[in-house]
Amino acid sequence: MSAVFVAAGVGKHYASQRASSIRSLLGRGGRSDGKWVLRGVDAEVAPGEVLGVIGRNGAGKSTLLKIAAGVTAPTEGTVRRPDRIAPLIEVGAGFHPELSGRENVYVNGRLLGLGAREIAARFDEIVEFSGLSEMIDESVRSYSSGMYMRLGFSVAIHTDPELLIVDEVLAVGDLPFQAKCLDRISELREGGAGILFVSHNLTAVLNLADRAMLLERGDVRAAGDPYDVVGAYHDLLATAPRVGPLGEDAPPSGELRFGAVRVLDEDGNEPMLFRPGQRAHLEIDVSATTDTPEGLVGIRIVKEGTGLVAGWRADEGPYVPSLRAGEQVTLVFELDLNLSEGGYAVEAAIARRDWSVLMEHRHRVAHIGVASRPGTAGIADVAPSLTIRTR
Amino acid sequence: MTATERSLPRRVAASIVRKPSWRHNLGLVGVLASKNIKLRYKRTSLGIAWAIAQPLVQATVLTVVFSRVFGTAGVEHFGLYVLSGVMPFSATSSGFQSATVSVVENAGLLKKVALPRLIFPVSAVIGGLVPFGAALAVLLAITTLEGALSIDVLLLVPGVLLVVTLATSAGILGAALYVRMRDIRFLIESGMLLLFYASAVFYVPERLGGLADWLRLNPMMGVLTVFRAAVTDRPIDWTALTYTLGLTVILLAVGLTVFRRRADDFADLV
Repeated sequence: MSAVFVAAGVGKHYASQRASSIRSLLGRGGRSDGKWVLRGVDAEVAPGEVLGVIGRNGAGKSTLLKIAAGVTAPTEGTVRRPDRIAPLIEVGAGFHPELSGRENVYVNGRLLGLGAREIAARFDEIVEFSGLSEMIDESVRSYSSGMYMRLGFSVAIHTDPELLIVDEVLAVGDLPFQAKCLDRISELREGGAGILFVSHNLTAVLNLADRAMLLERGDVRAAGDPYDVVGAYHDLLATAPRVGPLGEDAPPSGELRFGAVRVLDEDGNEPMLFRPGQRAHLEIDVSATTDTPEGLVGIRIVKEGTGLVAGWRADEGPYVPSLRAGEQVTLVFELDLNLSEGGYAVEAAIARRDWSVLMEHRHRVAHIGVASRPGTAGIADVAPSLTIRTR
Repeated sequence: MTATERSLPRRVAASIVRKPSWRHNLGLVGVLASKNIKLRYKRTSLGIAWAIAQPLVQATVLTVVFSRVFGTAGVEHFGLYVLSGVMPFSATSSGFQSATVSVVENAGLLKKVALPRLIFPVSAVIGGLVPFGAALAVLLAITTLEGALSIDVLLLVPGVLLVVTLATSAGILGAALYVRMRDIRFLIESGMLLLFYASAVFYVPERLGGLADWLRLNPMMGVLTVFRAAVTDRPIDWTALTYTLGLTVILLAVGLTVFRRRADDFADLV
């Protein structure tokens, strides 16, 4: 079967506000300034396939979804979309608060491509799914925002879509409803629907996506296996801003050099993502370029947007022994990654024992990706558990 | 080289609107139009009866005011004369104005679902046909009561078509412009007020003498003459009608051109 969604060389240019003159209204002139929010994007979703799109805010993810949904046209490139699309973006956006649930289901269903008879035939199923049978004849104005979304979701996934477009979707409704939606989505997927979804939840991307794509400033930075793409995303995030010197900010003398670096789990594998709280082994090969004195080791863990997360200097030893030129040692750190989801950069340095001269210093010798633990927030993971004692 | 430094290529993208299926699109127009109508009378206790009640009140007031207060200006069935001017004028005007704001008002839908953009202004005008039809029913009833009913009332049919076409043509252009320039709405409101007084709605153009010819530059004169020929014994002003028809065709062509050119960007602008 051919792909349900194809984007080839897609670019989207937004004219600047200044350009919205009468002249540009007529379609000429005034378009030289502005911004490309997407450029040269190739993407494809096969039937039954899930493509996860990740990237930082402003990377162009939403624009890609809008182009896929057909609500905005690409400035360049071509897009092939199926006729029936379920845009699970702001579900219920087309609802009118003054109309009843029933009327809104009818209007929304028609606008999403169902015929009048098709809606009549599956009306009961839609309402049943939403769990709103008792309120269906009341105006949507009286619905809570959760009910609103449940109804919108219900209509959208009962339209026999060939492509589902999902934006952080499972923030919809309560847990039982989310589970129901996931079931329905996997049903549709088994039936051959493709899914294009954007998420900041990397764990969800790893669990659900067959393939993933990383967008950064409108470019595709990585595409393919979700693990590789999530890794590339962590690399991107780990290019964290400098948070000040580890010792002095003088450039290192270069007497020592960092070589290969390995971030391993307990079994000696290099996982793409660590579980929060997992113990990591960080191995850094060090070689001497000349005869060196004893060295004092320090590392820091830095997170983009947050800055310094943890720092440690091995003041109590062990020390890097004095080495002859060409000799090699390996630093082995063991760390408990009590960290929340995200990409972390590891900064490392070796200085003289009195920390007077840095012999080697790298802001980013390694990156460590940590998966999310459902329900957590903040930068630290305190391995929470809960028991409820009854009397 | 950063993205912004690259030059803009010619647009090669296919239009985002799905392959045209007239039946499907007409169905969508129907859905939106009936939604508009439902909304219009929602939460009123009289409901759709307002469609009749409103023109009845209007007709009564206008007839009393113009036959008792201002005098009939020597025109037979002056009440009919005024009504057959007011009704198509307000239908055209409200159709035009609701079509103009239709794209922006449907921003929620527009940003989410791929729909042919033209259905918004078209359904706005079509939705206005219900109150207009009710108003015409009132007009017909009064015509019958006044004993002025003749075979000429059949002219109401082309009259309604003209109102729909003119309002739609102007509304499509208005909608395309309004997305970018929100001033348009107020320009149109003021312009329609000006046109109302330049439309000989409650006076006969002959009273203006030589100025009467200038009134024909107002496209509403061509609309009004058809409705008046339908319910009074005034003949059709063919000059005004021809001018209005010509202007409608031009408006439609310009409106469609501008609208089509801009439609793909609506979701980014509303």
